[in-house]
Amino acid sequence: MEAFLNRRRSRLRRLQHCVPFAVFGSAFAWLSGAQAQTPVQVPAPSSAQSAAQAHAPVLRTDAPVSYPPAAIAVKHFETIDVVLLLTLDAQGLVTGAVPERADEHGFSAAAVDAARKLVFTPASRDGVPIASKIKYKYHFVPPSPVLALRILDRETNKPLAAVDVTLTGADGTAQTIRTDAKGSVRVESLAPGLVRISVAAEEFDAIASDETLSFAEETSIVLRATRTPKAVVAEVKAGEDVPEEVSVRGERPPREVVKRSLTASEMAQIPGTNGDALRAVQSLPGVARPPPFFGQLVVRGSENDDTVIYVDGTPIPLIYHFGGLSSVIPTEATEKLDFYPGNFSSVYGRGMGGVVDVSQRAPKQDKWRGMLQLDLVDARFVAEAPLGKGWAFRAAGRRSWFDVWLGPVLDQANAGISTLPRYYDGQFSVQKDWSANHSLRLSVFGADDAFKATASGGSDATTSGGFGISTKFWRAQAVYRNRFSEDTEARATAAFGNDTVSFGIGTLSLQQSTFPASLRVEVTQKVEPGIRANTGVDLLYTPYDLKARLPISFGGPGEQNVPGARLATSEGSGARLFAGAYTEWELTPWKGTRIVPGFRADYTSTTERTDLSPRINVRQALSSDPMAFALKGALGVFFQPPSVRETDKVFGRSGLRSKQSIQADIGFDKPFSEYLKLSFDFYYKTLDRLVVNQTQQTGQGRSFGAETMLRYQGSPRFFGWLSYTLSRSERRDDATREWSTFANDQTHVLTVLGSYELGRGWRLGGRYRAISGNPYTSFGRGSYDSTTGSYNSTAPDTLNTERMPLFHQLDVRADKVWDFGSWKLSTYLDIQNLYNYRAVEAVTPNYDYTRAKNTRGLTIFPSLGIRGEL
Amino acid sequence: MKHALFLTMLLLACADTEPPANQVSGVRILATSTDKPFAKPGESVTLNVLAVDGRATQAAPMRTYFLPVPCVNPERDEVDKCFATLATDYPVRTNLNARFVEGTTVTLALPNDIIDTHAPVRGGLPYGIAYGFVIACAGHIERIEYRSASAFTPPFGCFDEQGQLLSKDDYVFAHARILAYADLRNANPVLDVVTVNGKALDQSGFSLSRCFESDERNCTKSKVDAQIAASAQELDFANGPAGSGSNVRERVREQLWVSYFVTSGKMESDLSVIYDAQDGKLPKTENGLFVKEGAGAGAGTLYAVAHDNRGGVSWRQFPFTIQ
Repeated sequence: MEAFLNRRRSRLRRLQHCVPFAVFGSAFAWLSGAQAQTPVQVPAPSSAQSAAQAHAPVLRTDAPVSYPPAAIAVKHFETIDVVLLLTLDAQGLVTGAVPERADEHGFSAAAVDAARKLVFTPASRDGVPIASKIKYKYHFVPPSPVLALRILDRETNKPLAAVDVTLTGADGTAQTIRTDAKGSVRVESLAPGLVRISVAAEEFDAIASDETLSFAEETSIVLRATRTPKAVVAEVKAGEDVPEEVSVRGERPPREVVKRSLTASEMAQIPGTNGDALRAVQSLPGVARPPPFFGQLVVRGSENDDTVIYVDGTPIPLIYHFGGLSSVIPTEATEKLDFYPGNFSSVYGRGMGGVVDVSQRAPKQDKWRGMLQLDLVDARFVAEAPLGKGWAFRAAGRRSWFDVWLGPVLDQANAGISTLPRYYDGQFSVQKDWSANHSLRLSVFGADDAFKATASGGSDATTSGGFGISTKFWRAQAVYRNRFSEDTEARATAAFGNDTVSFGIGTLSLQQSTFPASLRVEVTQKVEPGIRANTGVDLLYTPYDLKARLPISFGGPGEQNVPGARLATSEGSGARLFAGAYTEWELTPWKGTRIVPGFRADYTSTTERTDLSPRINVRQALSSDPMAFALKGALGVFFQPPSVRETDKVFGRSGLRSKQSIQADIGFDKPFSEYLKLSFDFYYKTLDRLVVNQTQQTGQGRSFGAETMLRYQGSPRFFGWLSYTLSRSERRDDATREWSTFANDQTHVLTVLGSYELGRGWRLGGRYRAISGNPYTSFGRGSYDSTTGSYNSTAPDTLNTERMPLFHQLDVRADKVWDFGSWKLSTYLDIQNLYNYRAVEAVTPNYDYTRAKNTRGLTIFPSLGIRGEL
Repeated sequence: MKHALFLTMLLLACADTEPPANQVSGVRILATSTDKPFAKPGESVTLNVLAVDGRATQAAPMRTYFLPVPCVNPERDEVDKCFATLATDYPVRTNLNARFVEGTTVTLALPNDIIDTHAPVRGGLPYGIAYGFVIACAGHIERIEYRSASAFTPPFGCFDEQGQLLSKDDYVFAHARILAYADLRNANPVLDVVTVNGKALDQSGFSLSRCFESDERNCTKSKVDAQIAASAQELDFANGPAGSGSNVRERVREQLWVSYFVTSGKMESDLSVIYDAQDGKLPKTENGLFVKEGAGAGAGTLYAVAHDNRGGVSWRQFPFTIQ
């Protein structure tokens, strides 16, 4: 169970904690003309030669001094001495105070002000009080940080008393303090810098949090502890197994056998991704590496379009801006990301690949916050603040700007690009929290990409001429969540929006606009101990407009060019309705066992059919030890409706059925510690009713492989994993044909990555990948089309029999954060392809298919970013 | 940004070292025109081929041959579906030159039922399609064994006197499309003017200076351009006029482009689009021509072949000398 950390932090400047270290013991008596710094020497302004009966003044009344506010304001923190020349009268009062040297931050003035309040027993000679002059030193020490902690039960919001809190400084020294009755701890003697806060409370998950403390500041933190799941022994009859119930406080265990979650901090710090949220998914097992410029998610051998992307339960059409430049939801707006490579819950439907569910971050409730970031790709901002009465908002936006600096380069290269790739995206949310379990969030988010060029298609006129592509989408979304009781929870997501794609190249064009309205409602109810039911509806209604001028059949081997006779145009409007309902039961019939049978029914208006999807996930822990070995398995049926184009009366045909996939997964999980876990999965899935030649639904596919992942997660200092995927994905046009390798099949995918916090604001990470090259087909010279002026190719019956060389790449990333208390400045350097290996990304034939050349990929590429945060 | 840089890299990499299609260094068929790009059922159509022998040394002269009958309405309009039938019509290990029509023109008759026998058309007017075949060969033609491993391989090869299959530089197998509609016609696009450095060319040709730069990107290029009258960009009725059975309400125009070929030197790009189907006349249609030191003979020929995307073709050619 994931520990939930909710902190409220406030930093208060402390002005009174300065140590007024009046070092009387080292005060120097100063005799006129004398240079010696001898303490309490009797001054003798004019004749001090007879010293036998002389006595130096002695401090009687101290006057402490504060660390100057002016120095605190400019964060000037250092230990400093101010030496004053004091003139004392015969009563021992200070009549004059002159600093030995001036300074910039008010130390001397503070010392003089304080010194005027000093009272001495006057100096004397032969028992007679006399006036004197002495040196007097004030020693300023920066005020120490103060840490005020409060530990609360996340569920009840009650303070946790008598809980041990261990504070470990950067130098390794540790102290343990116990919370008082209010769950509070206050420590005033800490050294500035990084401190790790570890909280160990009985019956609660451990909490660890790192904080950076600064001089003269009080840092107040509220940590909310999540109760550790525990076995509840119900009243049972003799002979029955003792049911086990997972205490549902915080997140319940996943319903799926394979769920890979990434936190926002992980996503932001994975090397080689520029800190991008969704590009981090490409480092997870089961995901093929896309070539540069292809923002694809090829999951367990499925097509890119087979994977469904959700934002808080609402499907969105895109995951990446053009060419995978970055994802459409920035990391700053993301709380976490859940990735299901297969056998996902009945909650999700209409997809045969994987599922990516992005959770937007709730606006922060404590105070105004802001962030500005600039790197070589884009500029972005985030602003968020409480609005009172439990309301808070967050606004974020981003605009790419590489078109500004890349334009002149491409102009010089005569690339014919009139509008460089540029994108916007924005997210706005307001959230009302009635309690930790009851909230409403209203959001609007979307993205807008455009690119236009005059393209040269070589000898292929079809792909020459004007080229442009534009994609836009937005959603207005409401998410309501209420945990009515420990047994009952409801969540509803409603959304409306627009998706537009416009594409044109040469003689071809496509404009499609859809207006999706979606509603998802799920109710979770504990039926009885050990049985919990999740039931929901998942509706999607999408009116659409489509206008297309495309080849009636895209060219396979032998039809590389598309003359006019094979072009067709279609224009029309329509609406598609997808109505889904599901139920899923979480059963824990006996100790260590978790069975999740599910059933989903999906009606699709274009197929006029209802697809029924039974699914089951099973997990069996071999003991009650949290570190126990757990076996798991899953089997399910998945459907994916045909696309708008596939059912178009010109480019597709009516009567198509949903594509179908049967997926199986078997494996195990083995935790080794709180942070370290090993997982292994073998999967097999079939793909049926794939659309071939736009009209036939005879295509078949199959994909199988093994995924293993050794992951270190949850520690504040380090995260990382080693993953390896061995897989095979194949396709054929019908059951009579031989299997061909899928175009994005990658046999071996090895990823090793890690990121370690070095302390003092430094973090260093690296990622190494070794991945099989993509397959390709070796074509030969066919007939020359002397009407259009280009060669056709020949191809073997079995496609993709060749394979490009192994891809391997090392990326490193360094982050540095400067904490100035009220704001932070951070910068990062992300170097991709550190040792400059030029991987083969494509094998391109020449104009008559008699030769081929390798197109190589990315060179070493450093990316620098800077960010300021309030 | 890395992707943008990669795009830049790819764009810059367009100047690759592979000989481009515009460099004619062997036996080549550059284009085939028909007198009726859109014919009617039962009409006779005359094909005219532009074939060029760019070989530096010629062991045997290049000749062009047409197959005497067209292939009509192959499955899914795919030309390779004709190959199996062609293969069965001719014997193997036999000089077939005499079975074909030698020359640069041939007249083929279209069946009266060419439209009726075509599969139903989606998104456009009903049509029929016929393929004519032409072979340029510096030897003699034989049928080659049909190889099941590559059903897209043309069924004829070019052989020398010893019966050895000649290389790709000595032989081209080509096809030309003939479309048949009940009522539609399509005109071949006509090249009104071809200019080099702004000067209109005539049959006397032009002259070029050699480039002595080691990096050809630094060579000064002669600017080659072509002009086609705007009236040549016809409305593309064939792909979906209103009421034709398609659901189209908007009509688009043809795309017109010019393919360039040279027997000496090199063009910057294989083709220049003159009229885009969606954007109309493009503002930048120039192409570049240059001859590197030591490349080619002291003279050459520039071929400019105009195409529309509905099968219309015409060409002009101009000699040039290299200084």
